[in-house]
Amino acid sequence: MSWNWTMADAQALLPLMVVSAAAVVVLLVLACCRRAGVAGILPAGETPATRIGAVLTVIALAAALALLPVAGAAAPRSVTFLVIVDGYGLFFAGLLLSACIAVALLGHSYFRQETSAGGEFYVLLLLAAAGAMTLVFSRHFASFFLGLEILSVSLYALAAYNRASLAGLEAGVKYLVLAASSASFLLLGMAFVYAKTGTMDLGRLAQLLNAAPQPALVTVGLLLIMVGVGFKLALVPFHLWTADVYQGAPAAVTAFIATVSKGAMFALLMRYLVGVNFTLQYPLLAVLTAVAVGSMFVGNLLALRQENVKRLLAYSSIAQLGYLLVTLLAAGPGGRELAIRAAGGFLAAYFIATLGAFGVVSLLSSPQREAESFDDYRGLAWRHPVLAGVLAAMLLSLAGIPLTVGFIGKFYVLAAGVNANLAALVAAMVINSGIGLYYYLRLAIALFTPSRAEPPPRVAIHPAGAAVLAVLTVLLVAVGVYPQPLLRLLAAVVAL
Amino acid sequence: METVFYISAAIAVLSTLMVVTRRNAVHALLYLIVSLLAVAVILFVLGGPMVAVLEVIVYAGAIMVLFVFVIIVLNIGHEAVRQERQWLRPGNWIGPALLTGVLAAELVYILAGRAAGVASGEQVSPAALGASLFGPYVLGVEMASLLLLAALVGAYHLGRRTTTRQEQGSDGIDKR
Amino acid sequence: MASISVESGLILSAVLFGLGLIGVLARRNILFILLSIEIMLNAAGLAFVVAGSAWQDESPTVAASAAATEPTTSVGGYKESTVPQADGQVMFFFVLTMAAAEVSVGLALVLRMHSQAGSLDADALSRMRG
Repeated sequence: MSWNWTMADAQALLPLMVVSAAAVVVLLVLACCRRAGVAGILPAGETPATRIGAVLTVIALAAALALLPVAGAAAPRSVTFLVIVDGYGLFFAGLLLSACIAVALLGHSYFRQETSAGGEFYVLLLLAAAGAMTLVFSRHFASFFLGLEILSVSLYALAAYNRASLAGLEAGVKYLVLAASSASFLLLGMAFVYAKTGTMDLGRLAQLLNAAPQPALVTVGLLLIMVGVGFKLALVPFHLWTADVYQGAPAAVTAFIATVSKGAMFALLMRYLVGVNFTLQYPLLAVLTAVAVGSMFVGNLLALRQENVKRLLAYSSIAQLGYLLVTLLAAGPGGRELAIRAAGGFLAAYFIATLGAFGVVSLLSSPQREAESFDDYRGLAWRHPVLAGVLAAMLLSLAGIPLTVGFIGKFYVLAAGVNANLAALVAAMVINSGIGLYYYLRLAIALFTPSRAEPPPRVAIHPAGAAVLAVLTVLLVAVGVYPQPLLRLLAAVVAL
Repeated sequence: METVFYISAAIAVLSTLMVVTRRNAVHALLYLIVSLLAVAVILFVLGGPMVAVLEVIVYAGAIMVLFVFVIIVLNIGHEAVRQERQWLRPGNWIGPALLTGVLAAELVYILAGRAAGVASGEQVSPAALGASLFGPYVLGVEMASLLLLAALVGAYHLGRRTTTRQEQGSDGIDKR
Repeated sequence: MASISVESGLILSAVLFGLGLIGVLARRNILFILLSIEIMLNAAGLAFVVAGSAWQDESPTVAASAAATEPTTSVGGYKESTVPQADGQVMFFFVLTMAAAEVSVGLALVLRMHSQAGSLDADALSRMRG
């Protein structure tokens, strides 16, 4: 019953271990710095401590990112029956780690003047990153739900991170109650599936689903699991929390919830559901189709009349995940490769644009004041021309305008849908892209119309946040114009 | 054994129903503890002595104590005194006491050996459970430790009083 | 030996789960909502142990063979877990951990709600609409 570690196991797990260890190290360093601050060795206050925390966090995340190819040399490899490290997982882990670096830098800019913020932000961020990576690498119910919970529990505290903010408190409470309830649905579903099939291995389960229609208990179990998954992805009808949490959480944390949390969950879902022959699992197919179409329409229609930028982006992210689900349904037994490539491309594009959009919001906000109403953005082009340009580019990418990376992603998804003859879903997607264009452009145009109201105070832009936005913007245009490197990477992922 | 299961199940459902419908948080907690004890008996009957013990220690013990602690912290002043008087009335504790009594009777019945063995098949011994946890599931245990660390850091950050500059001097002990 | 069917065990956990869900949906006091969530999690944990007990009959042989071959598991090699029944209880273990984690953060939020919003009513927080 014992498990013998080999060097290859350690090698495969290296990125995950670096991130987890970094959380502990940052925690200890912060504690020491705080002590040193009290003793007068370091300048008093927590600002130097948080700066050290930020630097260590970014270094650790970058190191984990750099170690991915090292882990890749040992891939594909299962480490116990809980974790599998393979090309697919490594690609998504890379995407998640890059997003975490962006969030860490945005968070550092956001909390720049907050003396009581402490450095817990970075510890929680690293833990959440470890949870997300666990999800991407998991192959068993146990690692699935533990990864999910590490992510969720870190996010409760991150969502309510601003201790002075009532909106943040509401975001934290709402997120906790709903995430914990949906996690218990997920667990009950897992228990049902386990009771009937006797396996908790996700790969084995996918094989079973492909072999024959399953008894009712398994279908019920799978649907209960989908409640937990749907909540994390903020899909209709589990989207009700999204706008409130996005609005209440600090903008940098919102960026994390919109990208890393959703991306990790989707990567797991995709890994095991892609290629499942849905014709055998009719209830699952019906539910997923309804959820995809529902998410597109509900998300886009609710976004139409939004006067709050954070809520607008929240609803837009619901619709974007609806598009993403199309790739899952398009896979079928034959379309696995195209579907994974489409999902990878779309997610990369969604990550860049969403991080960029929330990054601009984050740079304009501070713990004292979130820049979230349309009035904060009207006439932004005159106050912060570069930021306005960046935000406009991100919005155009989310809308799927050519020459941006969003176009590549959306095109890929549409191609996968057409390839699989999903006429209804493709039609829904086209209609919704039209609706989406309206409100993305509405916000983009608002940036360039002069403000009637008193202009909000001009804020200083922190260099770390500015660097993140610069990189994201370059990526947005570069990949949009010359997508070949991304496509080659995706092809390599599918091959592994 | 089957009877033990069904009686405990009935107690669990009944007391859980009471938890959901109580007005007073302390009463609800009392019933929830009964419900957890009943589930612990069921777990034992199902062949999990170790998880039954953990259910009592961690759920009925640690987690419920946290709730009690928070209720104590929140109820300072008149309200607490009034409630104190109220919940000492027999009507409030007689229900949980009766249900616990039935569970105790079950326990005696099991311990007396008249219902030796497990309802369905064999038991998983604590050693086997431990071997499984620290054998193939060892990564899961590591992940659970990360989970607890996240909860610890999160609870520390959320629960700590908003510090002013002066208070930072005595930082480190300002958590609850 | 008369045995308890897996179905009755699962039905029990589903009933407890349902009661917890009713609590989450019907109660407004955040403390009760957290209690109800604990009930739901506990029910899910119970379901795992019940499910585990269903898969134990084959355990002695499987456990023995797995114990003999486990250390040599190699690249991508999939091994059925060692003792099938222990799996359910291991999951119970993790559910327990998670319940403790949820509750500690949840109660920290409750304390903050009390000091900041002055109320434990979950609706009192819902000022943001739009």
